[in-house]
Amino acid sequence: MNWSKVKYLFVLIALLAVVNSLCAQRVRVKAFAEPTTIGRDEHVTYTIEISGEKGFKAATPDLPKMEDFSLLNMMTSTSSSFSMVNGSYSESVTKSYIYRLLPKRTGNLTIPEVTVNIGGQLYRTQPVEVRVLDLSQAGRSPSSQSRGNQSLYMFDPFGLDTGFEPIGEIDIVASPDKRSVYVGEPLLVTYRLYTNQPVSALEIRDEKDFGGYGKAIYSEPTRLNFENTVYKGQRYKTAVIKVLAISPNRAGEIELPQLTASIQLGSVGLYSKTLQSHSVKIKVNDLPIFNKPADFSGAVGSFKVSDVMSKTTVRVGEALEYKLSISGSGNFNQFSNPVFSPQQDFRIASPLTDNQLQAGVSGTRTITYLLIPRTEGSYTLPGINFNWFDPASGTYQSFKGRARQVEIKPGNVLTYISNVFQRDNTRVLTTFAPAAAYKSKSLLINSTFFWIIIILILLSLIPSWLYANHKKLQETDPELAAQRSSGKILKKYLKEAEASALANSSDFYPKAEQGLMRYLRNKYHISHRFSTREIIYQLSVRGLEPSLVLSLENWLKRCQEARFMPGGFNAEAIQADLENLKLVINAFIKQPDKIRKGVR
Amino acid sequence: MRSNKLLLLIVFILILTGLFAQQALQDTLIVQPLSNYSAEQIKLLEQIEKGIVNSDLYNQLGLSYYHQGKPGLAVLWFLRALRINSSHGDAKNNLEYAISQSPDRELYPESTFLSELFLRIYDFFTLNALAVIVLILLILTIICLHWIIHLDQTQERAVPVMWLIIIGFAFVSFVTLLSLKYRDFHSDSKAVIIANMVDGYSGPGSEYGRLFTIHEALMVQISRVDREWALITLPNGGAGWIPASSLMKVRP
Repeated sequence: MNWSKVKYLFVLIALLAVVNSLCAQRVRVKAFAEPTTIGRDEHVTYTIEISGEKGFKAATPDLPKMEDFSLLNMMTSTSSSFSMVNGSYSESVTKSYIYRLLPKRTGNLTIPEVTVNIGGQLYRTQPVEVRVLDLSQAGRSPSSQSRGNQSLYMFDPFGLDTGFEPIGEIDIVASPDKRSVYVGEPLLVTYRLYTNQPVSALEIRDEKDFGGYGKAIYSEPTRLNFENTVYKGQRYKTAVIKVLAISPNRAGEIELPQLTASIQLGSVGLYSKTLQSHSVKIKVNDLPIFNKPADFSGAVGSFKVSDVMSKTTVRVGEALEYKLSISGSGNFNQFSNPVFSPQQDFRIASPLTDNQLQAGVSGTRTITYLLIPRTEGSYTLPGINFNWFDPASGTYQSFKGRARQVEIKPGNVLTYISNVFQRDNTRVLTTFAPAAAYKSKSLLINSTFFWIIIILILLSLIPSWLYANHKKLQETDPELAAQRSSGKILKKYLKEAEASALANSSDFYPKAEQGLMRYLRNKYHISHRFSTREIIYQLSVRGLEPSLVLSLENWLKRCQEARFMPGGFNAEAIQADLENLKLVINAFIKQPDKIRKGVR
Repeated sequence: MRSNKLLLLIVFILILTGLFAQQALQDTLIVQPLSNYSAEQIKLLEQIEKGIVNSDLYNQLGLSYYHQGKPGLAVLWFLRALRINSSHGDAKNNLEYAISQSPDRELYPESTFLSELFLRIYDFFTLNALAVIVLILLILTIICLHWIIHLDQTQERAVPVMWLIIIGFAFVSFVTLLSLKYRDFHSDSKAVIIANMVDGYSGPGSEYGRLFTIHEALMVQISRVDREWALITLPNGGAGWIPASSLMKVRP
């Protein structure tokens, strides 16, 4: 054998081995129904069979919604087999999912295709046809004949649920924690399920009441927590279904509520059964009359009572909180809040109740009384009395709150505002207590003073606005601002001179000179004793621009000419001289402040 | 820095308001009870004839009427006390008590929590309190305006404008409230039944069909007056004509 032939043979063997290995890992899914012809009240067994090499992972197939069949139950079975291929052993496994289906109608019905997830890969079965005949046509099948009058729930053709006998082995029992109680004394009734069968689900269908009591749910577990127990000499599993708190409200014999529940039996919960708890009666005794307080609250139970006052010093209108705390177990739902005795100098609001209770029979009730003082002073507030009947000792108990001294100070606006938002339901007429004399209180809105203030406030905007405008103008357009100012100055200092100029009167010059000098004296704080020449000197030594001083000097010279020189006055030149005067004043206005405030 | 000063000013004003409120609370303190209602009533009426306008006085007069078995006049004077001082707690309490005891109490509609809260807030602000608040808010608004007017063009305007919007909104709200209150104060339509029992008719005369029977102390609104008859609206919205002499207007 040459070497190349041997090489090809090895390759061929290797290929065969790979193909063989691939074939060995293949998974097969098969679905079939047995029998394929059934009667209307018979069931068909539908099987999904998955086979493959050991180790494949298949999820339980989900049956699609079927219009023509209802599912009775489902079972699984697994089988394995060994084989030897080409000298190597392999183990194949077959998993069967067996569904028992009951037809809903007669005719040719189809079990639809089912999707199976195997190791993340989806496989689909073929639809399966089942012929369903009317019983009269088909006659009884062997399986139905053998079933006879047995309950459908007990039928098990595969023998997988061996020993399954639901009837008589499952029960709901009501157990009160007391058999004899007083009126108002709460008791707890525990409803337990006893079973030796697998129970997958339970639903409470009904709760039948017989009267003579008030009730509340004390607890209702969301899941059944089974524990082992012995009941009537036999071993059972038991779970609490519900616990009711019962508060009897009449004496005599009362029957406890009866519970009806629907129970799903079997490991996959396809059998159902309805059970009702047995009738249980308890004895209810009247409360003793001996030593019964006149103001008995109706509370029955074992209580611890305490009280607390929030503050001992508050302001008028501020709320004082008096808290009464009742804790323990008893008929919290059957007694009302004790009343705080009315106080003349306090407004007492309806009490606020805070219940931290379980089923209204155990826990703590805190009652808050809001006392709102009306007047300042020192007061003694009484405590609250609360009495109850203690069934354990068979006696009436009483709590007496201690009296407390409180100091009330004058109110303020905050306490007043807080009272506005407080809803007070107490309706008591206030005390008739007229004063000897009353002062008339007028409306502010009708007084002249009020409106004058309003007008003044509004008017203050005008000068403010004018000043702001002037300031802005000085910043943005100093030339225009100076011109406007000069106009004002002229009005202020040279009003008469301007009038003379308009009238072309020779009085213009003396008045203008006088007015201008007055303006300059005021502006530069120059003494009134100084002559015109001395004023010019003062201005020049204060650092004013020489040209400005010169123009002033020229204008004054022009005045002198017009006043004293023969033919110096010319009526036509007055307007030009007035304009010159304005220019001189403008120039002075533009001078910096530091010059204006120069040394006197 | 400026906004801090403004805040300080607001706090100062609030403190001042608090002091005024405290004074108001002290003014309404209750003293020891008396029993001779008739004699006291005469004294109270004498003071009213002198022109004294005082909510405590009106409230006490109302109480004296109530204790003398005249709930109609009592309700009238409680309402007059509340007209000049809507936050008068005792007058309000007494009015509510009188209503709760009235045979026509079912005619008053149940108020919701929100409407009751609004009414309580509305009542809390008396005309004088509103006038003071409006004045303060006006001052604050004007200060904000001055602030804005005198701001340099380079300065940020957001803060003063924000304050102006906030205070301006409050100012407008309180002016509206004041206007509503003032209109209520001058309202001439509110009245109280003072006759023991009175029938309401579909027209201004007893020859018209009878619609309802109402009792003393019921608060009504006068819609129209036709000679001797008044068209009234009941608290439950019903309307009818009753003799004008069987009611008294709250506004004196």
